[in-house]
Amino acid sequence: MARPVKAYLLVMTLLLLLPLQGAAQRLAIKTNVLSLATATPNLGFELVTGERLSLSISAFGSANPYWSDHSLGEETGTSFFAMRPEIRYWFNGRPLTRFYAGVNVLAATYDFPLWGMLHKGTAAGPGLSFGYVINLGKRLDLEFTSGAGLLFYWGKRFSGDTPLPAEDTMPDTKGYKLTPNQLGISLVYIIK
Amino acid sequence: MAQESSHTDEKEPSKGFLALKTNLLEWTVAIPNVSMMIDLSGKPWNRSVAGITLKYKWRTNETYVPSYMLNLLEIRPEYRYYLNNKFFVGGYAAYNNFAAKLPGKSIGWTGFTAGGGASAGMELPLYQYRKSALDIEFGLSLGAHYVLYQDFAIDASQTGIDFSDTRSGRILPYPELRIALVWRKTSVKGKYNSTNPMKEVYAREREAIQINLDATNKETFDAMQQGRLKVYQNDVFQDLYQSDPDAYRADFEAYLQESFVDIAMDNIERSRLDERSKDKLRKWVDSLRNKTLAEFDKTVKAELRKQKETEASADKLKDNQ
Repeated sequence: MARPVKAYLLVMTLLLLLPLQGAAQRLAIKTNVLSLATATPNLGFELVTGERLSLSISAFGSANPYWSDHSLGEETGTSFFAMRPEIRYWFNGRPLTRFYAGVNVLAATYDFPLWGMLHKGTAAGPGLSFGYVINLGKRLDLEFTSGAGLLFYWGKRFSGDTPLPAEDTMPDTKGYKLTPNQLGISLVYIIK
Repeated sequence: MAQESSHTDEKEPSKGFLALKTNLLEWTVAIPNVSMMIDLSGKPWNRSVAGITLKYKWRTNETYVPSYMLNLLEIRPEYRYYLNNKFFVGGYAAYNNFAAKLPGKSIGWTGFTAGGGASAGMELPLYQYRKSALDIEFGLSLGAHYVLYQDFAIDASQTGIDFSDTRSGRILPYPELRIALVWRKTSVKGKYNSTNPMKEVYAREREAIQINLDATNKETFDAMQQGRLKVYQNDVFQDLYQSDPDAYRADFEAYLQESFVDIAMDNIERSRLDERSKDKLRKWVDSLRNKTLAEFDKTVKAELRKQKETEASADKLKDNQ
């Protein structure tokens, strides 16, 4: 058989198999409205992978939101970007419904002044989350989430009223903390 | 039947005498916490539970001292009594070390607190699995804690902490809110709703004893009141009572023993109750016996006095005539 035919058959077989094995598989897209209220665009996807498990990945970030602190100069402002893959366990055996507990990893880059101090660097760490999902309709869910975790960070930090020095002359900072790391009220739309 | 019930009594305790719990509200402020609760008795009608909670958020290692802090190490023993398979009340004691500083403030506090208080709440079934169950608890504790603390400030280099020399102590209210997940082999539903079936047996035995005593008493005192004073078919009684009250009393004691105490003791012995309950009932029967005898003495004394008075007045009447 010619190669294109083989490829065609393979694709067709996969397409035929998908709905069969995907009876319980669902894909959802979501956004955290609490984040949106703080001018932080965000988007998440959630893939149901079993009776009790789902895989969620979300990203959020902002650049110079309205609440940015400009106390260290106009050129400094808040900007950050973060991603969080998460595995969720659904207690009642029906994903995207009612209570779940999750294990996740948060990775972020940040650059923001806070109380007269500039923080700049990278942070990452594991976290635990817990949430509740209400089914609003056939395809629409409302999700409440909160979580905490360890956050390891390394970067620069600068405080003072002098003009900002070059980044590599700022003092290094690193460490880790146990901190709340997510809070959300999300709208979830089930794509399929 | 008795054997059957004792058989299930032995089997029951393996079904979830231990519960593991974690308070979600504390996780939202990043304080890891875990509780272990143990039934205080293996009986299926047990309602008493003892628990211990550990909360530990440690001081982290950072180049610069963080601008906000909420470090806590707490140990909290607890007792609770389940009123039914939903509500519970109880008490706790707690000791903790803490360090707290709000962001943006220059001063933080560190020290310890110790105290205790009352707690109450409800537990609802959430999910039932094949071999275990997950419940959710809504609870509240309110206590009074003695707090000994000192101020601290982050030093100029922002890498160390300056502690103030003075410590202050005071007593503060200490509330705790809980929305907790509880994992157990069995759900709270159906766990704390059975009562001791022996309690009913005990109550029935007690009632029977009381009825028997009442009947005995009634017979005796009715007879006395009517001046017959023949408690059982014994005509000597009347004479005895008048001539030799002590012998009469001994007779009554024998009668009481035979018609009440022996029967009660026999019934107790034959009941399904455990030895402790039997002993309790035996003691009770003893006390009833003594009480009855005392009452008898009182009545006899009063009766004798009355007769004497009657005789005296009769004599007087005779004299007058």
